[in-house]
Amino acid sequence: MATMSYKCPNCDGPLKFDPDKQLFTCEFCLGEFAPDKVQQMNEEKEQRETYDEKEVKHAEEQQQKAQEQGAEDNGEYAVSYTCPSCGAEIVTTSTTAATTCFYCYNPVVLGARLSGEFNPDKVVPFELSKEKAQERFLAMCGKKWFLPKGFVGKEQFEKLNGVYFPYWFADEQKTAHLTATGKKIRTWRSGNKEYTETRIFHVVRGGDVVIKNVFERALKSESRDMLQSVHPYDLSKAQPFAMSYLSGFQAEKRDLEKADVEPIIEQKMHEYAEQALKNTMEGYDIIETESFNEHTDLAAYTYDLLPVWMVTYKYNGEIIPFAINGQTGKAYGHLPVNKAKLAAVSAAIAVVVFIIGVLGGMLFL
Amino acid sequence: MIKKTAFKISVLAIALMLILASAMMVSAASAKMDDAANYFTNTDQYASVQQKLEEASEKTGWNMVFHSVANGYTGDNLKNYGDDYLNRNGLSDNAFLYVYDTQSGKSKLLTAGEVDKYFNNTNRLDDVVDKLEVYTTQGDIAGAVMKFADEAVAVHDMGKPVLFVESLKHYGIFAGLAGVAAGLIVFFVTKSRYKNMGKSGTYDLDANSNVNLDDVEDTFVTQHTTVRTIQKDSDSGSSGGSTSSGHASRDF
Repeated sequence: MATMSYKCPNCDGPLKFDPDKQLFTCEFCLGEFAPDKVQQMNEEKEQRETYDEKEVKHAEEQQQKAQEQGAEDNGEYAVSYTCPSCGAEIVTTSTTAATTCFYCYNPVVLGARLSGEFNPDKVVPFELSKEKAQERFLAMCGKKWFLPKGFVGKEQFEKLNGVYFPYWFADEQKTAHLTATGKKIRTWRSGNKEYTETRIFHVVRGGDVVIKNVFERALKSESRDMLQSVHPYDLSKAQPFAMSYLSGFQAEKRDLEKADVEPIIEQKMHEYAEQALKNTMEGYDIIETESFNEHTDLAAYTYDLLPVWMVTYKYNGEIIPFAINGQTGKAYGHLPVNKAKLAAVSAAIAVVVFIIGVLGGMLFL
Repeated sequence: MIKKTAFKISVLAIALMLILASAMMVSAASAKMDDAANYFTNTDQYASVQQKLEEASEKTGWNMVFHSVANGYTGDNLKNYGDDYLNRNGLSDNAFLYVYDTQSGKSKLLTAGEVDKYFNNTNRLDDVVDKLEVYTTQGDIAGAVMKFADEAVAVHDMGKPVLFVESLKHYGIFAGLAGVAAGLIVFFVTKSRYKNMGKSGTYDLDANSNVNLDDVEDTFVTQHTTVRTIQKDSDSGSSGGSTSSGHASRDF
């Protein structure tokens, strides 16, 4: 089998990672286990199970067959695996790396998807539990006056899923040189005259610029806006990747390679390097770049998994995703608007401004 | 018992006196034709103008005054003269004055006291002048004074202006446009915020970058200074000087 499920060493029940406790817990015997212990216990099994060549080959054959049958090459064709707990068939997309068995609800890690060249470097474990993610979302919705009635029901978010999404991260050291015109502007008044003095400087900055943690999604099938906007993450809390962290969550493997995202990341790096040098030009009111050049001395890319609580909801026939950063709770998404209510409040504001305007006009009569 | 009755009679008597006094105050308003420059040579015309002013005074309860001079005054001089005239004649509490300078050929309207309240914060005085100019441009001062009396009654019948309504007339369009703009801004900004919630602040460059400079240069090149004259708001209210008149019209 190319699948893994993490079992409690006490009762053989399924183990899941608890974001609140940062421990693996068994919901049957309530046992709690440190991540390194679970990894130690399952190391050999992971090696054995995830490299089951027969099933990996079978999965690859399914992918090829699906592609030949005309499925679009967007990673969305279905592939089946066998649940290691109950033997049921698990149907997933070709990028799914961890899921839950539809029949026995045990967490299943499709290890083959994250092994070999797809083995992530780091993983940021979930810190926000599902309950806290729901609370955050509901609290945030509570401040939104114009949500449609009935939208903010807890049942709306029962299907909140914890998903590890793949990202490319890059650190680079560059040699950069920036030439700019800096302007210092001073304004003062004397009598009925206003004086504006502009002092112009030739400004040069050059040196080594190190830029870290520039990211780009590694999964093309999900909305780029969503995957990019749930950032930032505190990467100092990232752990070396271990498959056991995925137990109890969904996970996706990358379908965008380094070469695919490199131009985007390099463009960001270029802009960030220029901005970093500009930030050292202190005391100027205006900085106009004359020339900027840089070259990369060192570059390091890593492939990491980051936690996101995700839910989709249907509104006006449209399926809209909503994401919450699984570490910090930052939310991103398109919220529906009750247009009638918003229009009524806007009209009320228009009337209030009109009345204030007329009352203010009384002062000038 | 007797004391109580006497007290009641005293209260009634005082109340009666107050009522009579107020009635007398109302009836104290009168019309005045003070043709010091002897503009009116026709006695019939003089009498009919005086009668018209008296009728207007009766209807409005205002002191309706026509005064002619031959000083060659215009503008502020004519206004100051009119103010002084109202003060000297004890009319500063309630008067509507038409002052005409036969030498300069200029007329001016002044309001004072109670009358002033009917003209506050409105264009009414200008409207009256517009109507009187029809006569004065033809040299028909008698006709202008007759119209002055009619317009006084008309303004009185309009009542004291409600400030809010006057502001609405003057600034309603601007306030309406501002209101519509504010409403549209709230609508679209809210909609956009709901649509793109949480899109910003995804990367902290300061926290993720480090710069080690080996080339730093800040060379002064040149400087220039520009000067702008600040426009001061000019006073738009009525000019000071005298305290008697509330409003003075433009010359006509």
